[in-house]
Amino acid sequence: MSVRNDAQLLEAIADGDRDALRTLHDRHAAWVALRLRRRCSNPDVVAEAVQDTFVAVWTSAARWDGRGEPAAWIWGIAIRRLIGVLRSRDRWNRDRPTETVPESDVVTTAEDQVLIGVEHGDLAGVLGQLSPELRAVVQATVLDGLTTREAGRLLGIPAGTVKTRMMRARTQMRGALA
Amino acid sequence: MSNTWMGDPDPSETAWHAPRSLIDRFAVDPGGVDSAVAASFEAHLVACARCRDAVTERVGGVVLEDSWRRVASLIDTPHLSILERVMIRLGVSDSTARLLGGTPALTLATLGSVVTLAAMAVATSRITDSAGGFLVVAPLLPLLAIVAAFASVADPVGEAAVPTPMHGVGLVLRRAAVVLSAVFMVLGVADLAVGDLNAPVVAWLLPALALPVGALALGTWFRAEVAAMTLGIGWMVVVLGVRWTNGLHTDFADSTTFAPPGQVAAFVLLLGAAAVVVVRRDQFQTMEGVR
Amino acid sequence: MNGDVSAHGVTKAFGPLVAVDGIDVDFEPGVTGLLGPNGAGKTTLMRMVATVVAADSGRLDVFGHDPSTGAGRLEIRRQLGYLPQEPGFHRNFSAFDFVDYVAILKEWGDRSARHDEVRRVLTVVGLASVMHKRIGRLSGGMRRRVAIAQALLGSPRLLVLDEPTAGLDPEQRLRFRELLGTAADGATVLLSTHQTDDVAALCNRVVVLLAGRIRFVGSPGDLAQRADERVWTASTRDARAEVAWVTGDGAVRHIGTPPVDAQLVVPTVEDGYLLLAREADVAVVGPS
Repeated sequence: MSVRNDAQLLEAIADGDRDALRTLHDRHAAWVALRLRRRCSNPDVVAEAVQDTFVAVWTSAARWDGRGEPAAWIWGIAIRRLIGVLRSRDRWNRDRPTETVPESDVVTTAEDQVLIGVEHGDLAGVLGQLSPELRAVVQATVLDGLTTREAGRLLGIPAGTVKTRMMRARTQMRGALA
Repeated sequence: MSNTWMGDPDPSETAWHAPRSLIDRFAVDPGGVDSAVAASFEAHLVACARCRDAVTERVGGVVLEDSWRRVASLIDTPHLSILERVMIRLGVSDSTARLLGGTPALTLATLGSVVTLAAMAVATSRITDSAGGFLVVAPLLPLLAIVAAFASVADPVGEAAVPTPMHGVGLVLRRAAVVLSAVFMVLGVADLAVGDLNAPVVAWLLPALALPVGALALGTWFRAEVAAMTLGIGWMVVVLGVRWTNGLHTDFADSTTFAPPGQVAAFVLLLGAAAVVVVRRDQFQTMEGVR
Repeated sequence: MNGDVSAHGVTKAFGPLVAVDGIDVDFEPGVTGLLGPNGAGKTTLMRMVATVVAADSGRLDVFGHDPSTGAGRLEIRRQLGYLPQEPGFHRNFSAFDFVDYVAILKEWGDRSARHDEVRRVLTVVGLASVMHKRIGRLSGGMRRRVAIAQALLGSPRLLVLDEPTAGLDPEQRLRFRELLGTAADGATVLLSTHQTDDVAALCNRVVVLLAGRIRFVGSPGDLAQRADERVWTASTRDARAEVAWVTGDGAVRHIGTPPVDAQLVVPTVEDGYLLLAREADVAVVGPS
């Protein structure tokens, strides 16, 4: 049998092919888990998020639109599952004050993508000049593709703060590129 | 693992690949990698299957196997019906819930027809301003449920279910109990809807118990459908016959069937049928018993 | 000496039709093939051994238990794997659901152990990748394998398989032979077929059932031997032949009376079976 690429695997998974899920898992579980570990130090939480991710791939592979990189699609699920797991654990452990700042689902703009140079490969140089707080926000919104609300949940800060930090980061990045 | 990625080569793939040292550090202590470098590497990973495979290889098959086990434990699970979910919530084990609720025994279609018939009986009673219509129809509904429960015994795996240790009177009775309790809940609600009409409205209860148990008893000789049909027709004959002897002007609600003599007869029938089920319980084990 | 499974004067009738007519037979560990045309009583005999139906008269003994009693049936069922001729498939069930359901009926209470076993048997029959597809979407051969998988749950001591190779293509039949060799190691296997090549390839013993009665018990080699010096090939068909047909290479194969200009050939299991059926005056679906 010829080796199937990720897109073919997703198609097969949508059709109920369990072996295809196994192959996809074996290709992507490791890097997804490590990448999640950079955003959450608790290995149990990460393991649960990875598990949830591939169960979600299993049940919703049919919803993959066939465009773009399957790896990016999987990561989009994984980072959101991580937030989901963190939230459900949070609910049991301690009560967080409810966010008072009005939330918005504004995603990062095309300009942001250009600003941090995702397409130019000089990401490290641009990001390296930002403070850790700003860098975390840029990473969550631009690299991980989260909404301000999701980024706020992941980082444990209000959505409004995500927005203000993103604005500051944008200004600094413009300066760096100028 | 370099041989596992042999999909279509990505034309946009860069010539650059992460050095061994970066992959090692990322795999062993991801948090320790400088964030600017890591962010760059992460962006590269999404687009580069070769570096993903290098990371996977570094992490190792044991970790992967463990991770897959966790995934498999969640996906290798039957698709639960609503009834099953309810039962599991109530503390029933998943295997029992599957045997009782994962089968076509209590499909929404069956329940739907029971609810519809009960509603029609209630409506008839309200229009005629007499509980009679409801009293006559109510005992037939559990009979319908029994046919559904019986039919499900061979389902959903057919004959393969028969020579198994769990197949037998215990399973039949538990399934019957599940369907009957659902039907009796419907009848209970319906009873409230006709309760303000002429009493005694609870007079349907004993016949409604005697008929399904009678069907189980007859089911040790005949097919479930035949047994239920026989008893259903029998019930109608008795009801109409008694009314004829009572005089055609009498309301069904005042018929002897629903008066003490009828109630005693129903009770005796119930006990007799239950005794037959107990004595002939082994018949439920084979295909001859339950079809 | 009695085998693991023995029948004494076992009879079963459906109305006026006597399906199994006073059978005496022992089944021993290893693979026994039940050979006979449709309606010979194979399925009825297997159903009785598998406790699916009860015998009208006579005595059956399975591992020392009596299938006519409730307690005996229970003990037999705990050591049994059964493949019905026509399993029912619930349309909404996946292959996994199907086997899992039978596993529950077989008292596999612990969820994770049960699921491991379900995965194991589905992998054995080569259905690991499609185990979550609805059965309605699987091919006939795949469905047959789903049904075979459930019979293998718990590696039972007695396997009763009613036409396991029906609906399998030649490749799958080969796979089945392989898996039976490993999965059924040490077990008593009773399988029915009307494929004589299955018998030759799979069985240590063969029991020929014709019109509800046993006509032959022995090794496949013994069955072939019965036709020794009675199988001939010739260039033309002889009118006196008891059984004759044109084979693939154009020669006419005769069983029984030697035709003119005939050449004596080594008999096969099929020759022995056809001759036996001829002697018993039972119409057998001829080779195609």
